[in-house]
Amino acid sequence: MSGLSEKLAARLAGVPAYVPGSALPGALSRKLSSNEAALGPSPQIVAALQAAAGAVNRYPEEAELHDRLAHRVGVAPEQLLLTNGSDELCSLVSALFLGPEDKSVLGDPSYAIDVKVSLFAGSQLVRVPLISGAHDLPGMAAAAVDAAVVWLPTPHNPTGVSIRPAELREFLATVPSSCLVVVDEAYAGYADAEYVIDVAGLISEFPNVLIQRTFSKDWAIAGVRLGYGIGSSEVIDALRRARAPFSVSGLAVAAGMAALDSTAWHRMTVDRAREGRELLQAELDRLGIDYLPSQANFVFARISHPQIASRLISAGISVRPGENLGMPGWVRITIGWAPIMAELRSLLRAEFSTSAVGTKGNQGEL
Amino acid sequence: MSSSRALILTESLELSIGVREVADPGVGEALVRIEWAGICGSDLHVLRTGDWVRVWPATPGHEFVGVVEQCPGAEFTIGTRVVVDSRVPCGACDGCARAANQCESIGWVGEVFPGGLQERALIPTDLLVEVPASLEPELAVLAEPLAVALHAVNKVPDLGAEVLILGYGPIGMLVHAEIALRRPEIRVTVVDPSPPRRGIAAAFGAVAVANYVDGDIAKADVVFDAAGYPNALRDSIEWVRNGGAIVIVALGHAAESILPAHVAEKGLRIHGANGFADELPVALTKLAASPERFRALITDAYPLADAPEVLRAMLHEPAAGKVVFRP
Repeated sequence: MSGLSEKLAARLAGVPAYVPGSALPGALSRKLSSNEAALGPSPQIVAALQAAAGAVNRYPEEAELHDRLAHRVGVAPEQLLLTNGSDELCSLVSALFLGPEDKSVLGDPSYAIDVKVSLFAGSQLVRVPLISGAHDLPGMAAAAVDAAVVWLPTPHNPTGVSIRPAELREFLATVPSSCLVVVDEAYAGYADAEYVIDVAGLISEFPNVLIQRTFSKDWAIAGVRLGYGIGSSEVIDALRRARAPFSVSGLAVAAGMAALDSTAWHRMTVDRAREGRELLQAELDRLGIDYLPSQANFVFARISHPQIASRLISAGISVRPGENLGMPGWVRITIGWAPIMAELRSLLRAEFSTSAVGTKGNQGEL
Repeated sequence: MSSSRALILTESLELSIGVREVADPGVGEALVRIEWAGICGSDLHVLRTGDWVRVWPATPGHEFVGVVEQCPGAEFTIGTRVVVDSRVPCGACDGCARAANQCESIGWVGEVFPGGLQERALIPTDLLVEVPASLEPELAVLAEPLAVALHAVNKVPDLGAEVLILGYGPIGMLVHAEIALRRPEIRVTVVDPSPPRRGIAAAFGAVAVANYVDGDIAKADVVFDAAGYPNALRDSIEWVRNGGAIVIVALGHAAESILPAHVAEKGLRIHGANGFADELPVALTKLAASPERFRALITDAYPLADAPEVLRAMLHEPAAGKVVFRP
């Protein structure tokens, strides 16, 4: 047994444990710590899941969803792969593209899953610190010269800062074609139009780009795990071969199909999150609290979590401490349901209206 | 006597945040700490006109949820979460003998005495209804307007296959919600000029249009007028099928002319729905049973301190859905 323990300790060295966001007991609707969709899935999705529950004795059939999604995105079916949440795509990328001899380039801080799969592959991590919450693209390009994979979330989590399409193209033009660039668009559904990427054009121009997306955020089905990757047919074919045959469940397929039929719900909930984001950012402006301009369904603000913890507990509201995200002294606040956000704004006023913290424009260590 | 931070409306229709003195409750009364208060179209009418107010300065608000802090008669345990029955009937007329909402001189909380847009309110205990333990207060604030919507829908036992809702403010939304829960197969068409409101209607499966063009969309078995715009009744008569029903739940204040022969020839039933009868406890049960159907209908929420600015803006531009304040 001791041999096994040593082997595990060696494999797990440096692998961070994931600390999920949590709700206070009995306060799920007040959970502002996991960037979940506040208004839940559409009525069509709920009905589809209820109907699909009776067919879980069957293996899932994903072809129709796959083709509809490819058509919606504007790419050929062979340029898209469904996955069990977008996390599975990270594991597949790691399995295919990373080994002990390879470099894996990430922002700092970055997604825990990107760090985890890179370390499990035995690859060498090259962390490039963010600048004012944004990726240091020249720094990452320099690190990518001899790298196998670059992980590039936009909007970034936890900062919410997004990359403009022109900046992305400029960056990609400097990265060797042998290096896979994973552009994680988990939160892109909440971004302004000027940040929307022409995915079909991008993968045509840069075959080493893999776009990573999820149904967990703006499509509101985090619980059934459905994501997808978009890339060149060569990359997608390799990932498909590496993926388990039925990794996407029948319930996820049913929910995904219904999500595609729920465009009005999607539009309403995204608009609501964007309005809530503006309200929160305006409140932070009034209170003189630093935050990073977000293009996601959360706002990252320079607030000490311990300073507001007792008020949060009294209100039953949970936010994500920056300590869990590699940024002590900050909190990540998910844009939740309007009444809960109003309570949060009241809470912040009570704490900060007389003694503002931070200074606008001073984003220090980021 | 205690102090309560409150929205204050003066007789000259000026709005501000101020302090009200609230008397200690006697037997038959409770001091309620208000958690959430909603804004109704009739509140906006009060802000514009001062109509119906019996005590100045006023503190509007008849849709609210709160917690009992004092109750000398022990009708409610301290800490009980309650919503208010907004109706204040005279209790002496023939109408009251039939139902509170048929009172000849009915008044409403927030007009007869200070309402819910304040930290604490003194409320007769016979106007309080306990909230189910499983229901969040943020949703319980919808109980009163949902009771109004239920009362409107209850006017027509057979909703048919096609329903038309004129106006998709909170009452129109709640009428839609009740129809969808009761008869999900019914095709609902919504007419509202507001794009955000049409967006919400479409999100819940309605056909949402800015203008109803007769012949473009099938005529309805039942038309709910939740808009009250000038000539809404004339339009309702035109757009309902022969033998159909019209339910007027909006408080339209513009006179309009209709041809009575059309009502007779089409064999129509026209119902007025004033407030609610016994639907308030039912509304609480429905909110507790299907919270996700109602959550999206609250579109805007603010601390009470923001109320004067927000309400002044609402007088010019209505919100998409229900607006609530946190005292």
